[in-house]
Amino acid sequence: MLRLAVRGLFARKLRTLLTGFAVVIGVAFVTGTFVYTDTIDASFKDLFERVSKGVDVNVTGKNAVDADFGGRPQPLPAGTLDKVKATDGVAAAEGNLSANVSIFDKQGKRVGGQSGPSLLFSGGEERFDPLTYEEGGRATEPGTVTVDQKTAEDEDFKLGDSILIAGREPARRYKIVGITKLGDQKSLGLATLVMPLSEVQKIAQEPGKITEVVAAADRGTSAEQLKASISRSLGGTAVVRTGKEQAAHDAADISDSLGFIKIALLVFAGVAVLVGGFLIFNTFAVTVAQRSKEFALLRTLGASRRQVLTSVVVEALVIGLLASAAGILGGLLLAPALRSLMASFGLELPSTSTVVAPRTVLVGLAVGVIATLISGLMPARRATQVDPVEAMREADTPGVKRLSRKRLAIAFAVIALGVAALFVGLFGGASGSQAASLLGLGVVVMIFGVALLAPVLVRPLARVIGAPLERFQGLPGRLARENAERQPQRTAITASALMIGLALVVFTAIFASGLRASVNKVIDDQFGRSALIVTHDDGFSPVPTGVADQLKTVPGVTTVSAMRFDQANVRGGGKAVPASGVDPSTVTKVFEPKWESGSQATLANLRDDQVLADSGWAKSHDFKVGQTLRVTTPANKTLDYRLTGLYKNQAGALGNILVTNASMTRDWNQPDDALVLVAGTGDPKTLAREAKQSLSAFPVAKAQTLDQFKQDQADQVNQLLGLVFALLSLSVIVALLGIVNTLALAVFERTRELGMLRAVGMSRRQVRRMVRAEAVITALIGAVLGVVLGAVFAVIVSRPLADEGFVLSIPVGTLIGLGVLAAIAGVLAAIPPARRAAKVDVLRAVTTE
Amino acid sequence: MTENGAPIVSTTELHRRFGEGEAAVHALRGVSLSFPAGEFTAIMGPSGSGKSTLMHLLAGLDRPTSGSVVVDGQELAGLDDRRLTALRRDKLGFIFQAFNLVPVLTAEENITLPTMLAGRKPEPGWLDTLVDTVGLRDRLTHRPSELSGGQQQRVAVARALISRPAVVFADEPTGNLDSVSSAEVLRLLRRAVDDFGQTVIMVTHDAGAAAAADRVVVLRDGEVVHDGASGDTEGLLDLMKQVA
Repeated sequence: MLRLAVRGLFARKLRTLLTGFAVVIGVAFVTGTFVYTDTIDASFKDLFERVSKGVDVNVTGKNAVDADFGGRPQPLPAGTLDKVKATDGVAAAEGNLSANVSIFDKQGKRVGGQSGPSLLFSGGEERFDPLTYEEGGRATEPGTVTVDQKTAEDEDFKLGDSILIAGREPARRYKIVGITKLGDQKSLGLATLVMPLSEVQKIAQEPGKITEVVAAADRGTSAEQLKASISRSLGGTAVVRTGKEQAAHDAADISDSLGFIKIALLVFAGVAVLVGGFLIFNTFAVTVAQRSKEFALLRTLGASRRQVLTSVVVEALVIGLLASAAGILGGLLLAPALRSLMASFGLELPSTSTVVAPRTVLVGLAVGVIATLISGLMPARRATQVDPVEAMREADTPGVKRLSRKRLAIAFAVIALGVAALFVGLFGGASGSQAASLLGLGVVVMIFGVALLAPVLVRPLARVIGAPLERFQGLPGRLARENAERQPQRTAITASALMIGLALVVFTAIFASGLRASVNKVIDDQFGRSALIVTHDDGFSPVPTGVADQLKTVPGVTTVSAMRFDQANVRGGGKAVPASGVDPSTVTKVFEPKWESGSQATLANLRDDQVLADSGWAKSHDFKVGQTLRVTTPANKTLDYRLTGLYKNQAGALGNILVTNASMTRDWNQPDDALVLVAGTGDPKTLAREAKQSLSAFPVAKAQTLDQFKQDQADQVNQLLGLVFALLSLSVIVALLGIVNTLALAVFERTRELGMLRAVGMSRRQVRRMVRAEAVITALIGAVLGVVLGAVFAVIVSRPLADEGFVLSIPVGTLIGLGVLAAIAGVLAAIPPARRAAKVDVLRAVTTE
Repeated sequence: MTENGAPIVSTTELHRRFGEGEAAVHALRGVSLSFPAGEFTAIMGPSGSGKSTLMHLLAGLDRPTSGSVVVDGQELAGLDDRRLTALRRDKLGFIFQAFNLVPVLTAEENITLPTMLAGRKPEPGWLDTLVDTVGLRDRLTHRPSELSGGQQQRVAVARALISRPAVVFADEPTGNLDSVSSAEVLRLLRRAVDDFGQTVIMVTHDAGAAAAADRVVVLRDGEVVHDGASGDTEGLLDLMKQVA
């Protein structure tokens, strides 16, 4: 039986290949994701280990708030460096400070786009310097800087060139004295600059401050021993780690912070595997139907049901194994593609040599084989139900099957189950990750439900979609429509595979459109009194310190009010709670939140020991107006704030809590303005121009009118949308392969019929047109199902967001465009089977022998 | 052309060889025949005699190794696929042993298939006449799976006649039918010749079927061994025994 299964595979090469390819893509996506993310993790680990060169012990500030990327590095208490230096066993020690800065290319354009700030480090003694110098040497003099090799190459910086650098200080020019590398890495992913400590302190406006002390041990003192003695002399005022521990810690922080990438990519990989599963199921179902005669013959000759089952399962197993192996190899190719895709969307991450963990291979194999087996099992069971007597019957194309009422009931039950899971996930009060899993489960279950229901929908949909084809293409169009309806089950599954990808595309498109609409609404409703919004050019870094004051000098400006963002721990309210800071004396003139409890007066009278909170967050944590919130700030201070009002946080314009800027400066060590709101007289565009001129010392500050700001936000949403579309495209490709496969199988099945049509006068062109029209009908059925399902997802999922100002908005143009694309894709998918159908040998097809 | 006697299909020195070298099979070895319009010819012969090959060549479904086929004044050798397709659609009618109807179309649509493929409407009077002749008026909206074998073959006969072809080819049209249905189909073919002036060429190994024809051509080993007027079934059975 085994040999028979393997022979069968070879006999049906094309089919095997197409089926296998569906598995290959899914598996490649899964392994590619692992390879890509593992490589990133390993690269960071490698980089941090190199950075810890010569460092036996590392002292950093205590981080009270566990925010992303390890949180903001906090300055060490004064005297820490001296205490370390005075500790026994310390051969050398130095203090370091790093800062996020912006650098500019020779044309004055900021480097790095939206991929993050440039990193500025202080350089000290040579023994702690991890860098190697491709050209020049260390920057030891004020006014000098070194630049990493990749940035130098990309931006054409040469030794001796000057480079414009902006931090909290106004931008200044520095002379490049060195081009650096870290090990074999030209870059850390972000531009990396080094200059003397005093200069870093100046740019960062942190005079005399350090965030890190590195120490080297005397000969004869181990790192562990030194760590112990430094800990003793610092007495718990700072965190002390060995160099190795610090490297591992930093790498883990980054790895955690980037974990979302892996999860997101795996979700998309999962979609591709799911779509592939549909394709495999269909191919096996059709193959089994076509081979029923062969199975019957085997049964007549004495094969048991079990042996028939085994032969089909073995076939699935072999396809699964081979395809998974190919998929794992494909994953190695896909990993760099993912890397450049992410880079093109602004997420440039370092990568040393490619990492292929044993886990990657095992998971890839398991995913491929299990998906193939599960998808092949149901058709295999059907093979066992073939009666031996069928061997004797004249082979006929199977007729139209009626769908049982039971199946209909099951389909509706499954859909209801999916909707239920969605609702529980949305309203059941589950935690973030639980809710996300429930949503995912709901979506998948609903997809299966609709796929079960789809055969019933094929006929009416084909009627509607086929009508224009029949009108313009005559008989071939008519036959195409009839053929699509002939095996509703098959058409349904093929269309459903396309539906999955399209539903997610539509969901994302609707969601993004809603997001844009809600951002616009919030800007109009809440920021309407502002004329300008001034932000950092990269969209997320804070603006330099002097910007707010500078703006006050612009003619026509009446109010300038800065807003800050940070994170803090709130007792009973969670860790790393997002927080906003405002200036009560000015904020009400330019900003009005949606009040749940309180008014603009509450905001105007907000004291430094008072706090406002998001009503939704407060409700879920049982905080009421008048109560006291105990907040631990990033500066590791624990303070009590009285809750004096509640606002509805919409579109994430504010954090969950809101305090005064004064408190943020004093108690949070947060002096940076995230954005500056400006009100003024006259045309906002003129005001924006004048503000820009006035801000020439701060090239990173971007003054935008509300309309420009809206456009900026919309562009960011669109960019994310583009990324999602790119990642879903693989699933759509798999689904198109499904159309190719199903049609190829149908053409094979209808050889005789095609021959007869050719004999009575159907031209090759008409044959091709007929197959093409069937593909278009199938693709459009998938598109219609996908659009409807995607819209339903979007409507359901956006329900709870309505409270946060989410406005549902259907992007009709995009949806129509999708339909057209689906039709074109159908035409493309039809090319190989149509060619095959047109080549059918009339003679062979009509002779009975 | 409708006048009896003028040849509507003729072949000269028709050869058809399958395969090359030692394994070559000579299916036809120099067949020259002519079929006058308005005649019902039966081509008979044992298995492997070349009768099906001959019909495929006459119908332009296959190309001869050498020799020529002229249908309705047109030499088939010079026609490309597109022209051959048009010829089949407009000038030829086909009836197959396995009925070969399109399962997704109704009986009426199957009948009008060749005209629909040409993008024309069938002549309404002609369609009515055909439907009444084959006796399927009450079955027109049925699909092939809802018809009996005999009914399906009657649909096929009507389909073969719908475009008033120059010649109708029937390949073992009674091969899959019971005797009652066979007789009905043969009666229809006879009427096509007698009442509508059609030309019919039928391949069969059934002497009973051949008895319905005007003329019988017998092939053996790729050569014509008998060509003459048809007789009764008994006589034809004897003839077959002689040539076998």
